[in-house]
Amino acid sequence: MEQQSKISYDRTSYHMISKLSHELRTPLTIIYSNLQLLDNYEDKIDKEMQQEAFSLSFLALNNIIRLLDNISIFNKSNNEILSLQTSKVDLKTFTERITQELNSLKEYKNRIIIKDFIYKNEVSIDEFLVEHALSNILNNALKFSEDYTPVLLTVYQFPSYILFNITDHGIGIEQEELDKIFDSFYRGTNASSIKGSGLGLNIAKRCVDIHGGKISITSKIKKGTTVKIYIPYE
Amino acid sequence: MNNQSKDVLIIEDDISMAKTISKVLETESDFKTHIATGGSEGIQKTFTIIPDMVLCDIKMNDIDGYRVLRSSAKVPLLLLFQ
Repeated sequence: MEQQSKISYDRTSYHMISKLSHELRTPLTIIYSNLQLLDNYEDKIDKEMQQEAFSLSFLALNNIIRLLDNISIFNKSNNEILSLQTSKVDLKTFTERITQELNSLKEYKNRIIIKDFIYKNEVSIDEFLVEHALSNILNNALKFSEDYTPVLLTVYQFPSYILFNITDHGIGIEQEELDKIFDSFYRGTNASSIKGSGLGLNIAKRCVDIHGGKISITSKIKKGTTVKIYIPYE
Repeated sequence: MNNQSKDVLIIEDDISMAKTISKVLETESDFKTHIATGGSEGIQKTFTIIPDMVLCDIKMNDIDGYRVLRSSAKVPLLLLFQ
């Protein structure tokens, strides 16, 4: 039995490391090539091209940081060393900081719109866990929808829980895949042409679970996806 | 060699990578680049653009580089391994 669980753990580690090395290679090549361009052709490239080189590099860096964060959470959660650590958080400042970080990436062109925001006071939540859950869902919404469509976010503070509602107008997920979509490394059959590690939704769910919350997803192919994150607070 | 009118088609499903290759080629030479973000779009573009050369990623999710090589118009094609 112990041997079997070791084999399964080794397989997961192998899968994770090969995924990690593959997923890191592309953004690192993008950063390296763009830096080379900026360095070698300073006089030849115009302002617009310079900005695009920076923008592609920043997006690639953002992807690397997200991937490493996700791998770290995945690992900690597998080894049961990820625990709830709450602190007082101003919900408005918190949400605006996360959306601003993604909106500031030129490739995402300020697409996240905070549609509605109802909050009363500071809440006691685990900032790290909620941030990773929310930013993974927002990042997916941006990645899996056309770059001219908005991603809508509403935040409601109810007496005992916070609801984050994220809606995109993207490619959607097949109905029969909805129950598998939170599995680690699972990727939707219609998502294959969009790069990703298959960890984003799984990490979001792990973070929400540790927080004692709930995450639900509804989707229609070619119409879009809505994810609801329920986070209890004190 | 005069590269002034040479068209290069880049078939790569990672748009950031495709844009980067395009910028490197256009900066380091006078090639005019076109981008296809998948194998099937790439095959179509080899017939509509009829480029002078194709650079094609081998590992793509819809149609991989080998199938593009077999199905595209008869133009010189370089497969990119990563």
